[in-house]
Amino acid sequence: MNEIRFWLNGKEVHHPYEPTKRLLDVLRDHYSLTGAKEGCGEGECGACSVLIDSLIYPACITPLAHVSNAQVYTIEGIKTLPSYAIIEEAFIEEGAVQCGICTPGMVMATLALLKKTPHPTLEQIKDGISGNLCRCTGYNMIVKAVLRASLKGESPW
Amino acid sequence: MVEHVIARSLDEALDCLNQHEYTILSGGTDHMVQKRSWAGTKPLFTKPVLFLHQVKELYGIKVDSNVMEIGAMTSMTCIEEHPQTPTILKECIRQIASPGIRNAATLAGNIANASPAADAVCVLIALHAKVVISSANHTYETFVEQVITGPRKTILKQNEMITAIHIPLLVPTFHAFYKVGGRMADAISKISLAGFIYIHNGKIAEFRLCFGAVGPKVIRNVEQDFAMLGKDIEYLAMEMDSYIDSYIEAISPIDDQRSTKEYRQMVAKNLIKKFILSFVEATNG
Repeated sequence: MNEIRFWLNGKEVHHPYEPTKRLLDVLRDHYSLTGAKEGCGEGECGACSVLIDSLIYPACITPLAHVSNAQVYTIEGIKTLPSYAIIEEAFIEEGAVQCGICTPGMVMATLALLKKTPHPTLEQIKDGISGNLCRCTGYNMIVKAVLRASLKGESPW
Repeated sequence: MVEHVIARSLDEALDCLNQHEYTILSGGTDHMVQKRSWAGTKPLFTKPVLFLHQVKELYGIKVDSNVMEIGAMTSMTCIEEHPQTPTILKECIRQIASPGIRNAATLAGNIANASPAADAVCVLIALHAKVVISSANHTYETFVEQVITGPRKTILKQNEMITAIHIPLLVPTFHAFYKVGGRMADAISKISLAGFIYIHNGKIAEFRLCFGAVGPKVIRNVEQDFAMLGKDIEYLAMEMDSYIDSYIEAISPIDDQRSTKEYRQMVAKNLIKKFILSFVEATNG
């Protein structure tokens, strides 16, 4: 075995066999997808959140082996989706973006939540973004933005 | 150097273990942090890694004659979402880390990792859960508390791995899982308690308390728990203080970055009290 195959933002890729390498490093260094950030590097801050087979994962503690044969989506890959436009608009309207470093992760967490729970309660929203740290907003604007997106969006998340 | 292996079947995984020493990766949520190095470099695994992620036989949940069998690679999210998962385990999983971690993390990994602060291990011991351990030559079952021998230490041999977890589905008369951490999400417990009481004909038929983060491993004071069997609820309420005192003698919390020995001792007492009083109130109410 000399490569790991997966689908990155919809395109099939064959990456050299480096199974222990962190998905985050592969995305940023090899594919120049820098939307996923390294915050804590221990799976706590959520700045590196990506979707793997529609579920959210911290890419900083995901070994490349774990995406073998899987569909990986980063913030760059979801930008063209109608659901992204709804989330973006809701984040802007609620002022949910300040310094911006947590934002890609927050958007991924929002999408992951709405895919599973299109009409979440406040508690479900808080749980949905509980793995994403934000040091600017105090979270209230983000929670409101997720709620707003859920009310706007009847699109298939 | 033996290469890292992404096993495609259980047989392949067990064959590998029979031939060499590997670090087995389940969800990887702890190993990838423990072995982390600088950004852009590979984690510093000292042994070749055996990835179980593609082993289909290790996924899924089956319920048969009141026992739930959980495949070793089944994520905490899937376990939490299953309709027959015991409520106490669901409540516990919801308090572990965050959705992203729960999508990756497994109960088998939580057991094999043998952290003294493992929340789910606490609940599994209180539920009398067993672990199925397999090697290329044999398979056997044993209780979760017998698998873990100390901090980061288990009975698992080099050629063995956990393939499933068996949880008896006895519905408790009363249960609770309490977690004390620095914040709601993404917090390693300062102390945690899982409690399970089953009443039969007015008498205590099962009494199981299990503590996390107050000793070198998740512990249950079996002697004290057994002393409760056959007693009635009034006895429990009456003897609560002496029960707590003798229980506290058996635990050995330490000072660390998350908490202090004194704090843990005090909170351990209070949690047992809260558990027993809530139970008495629930039964009388």
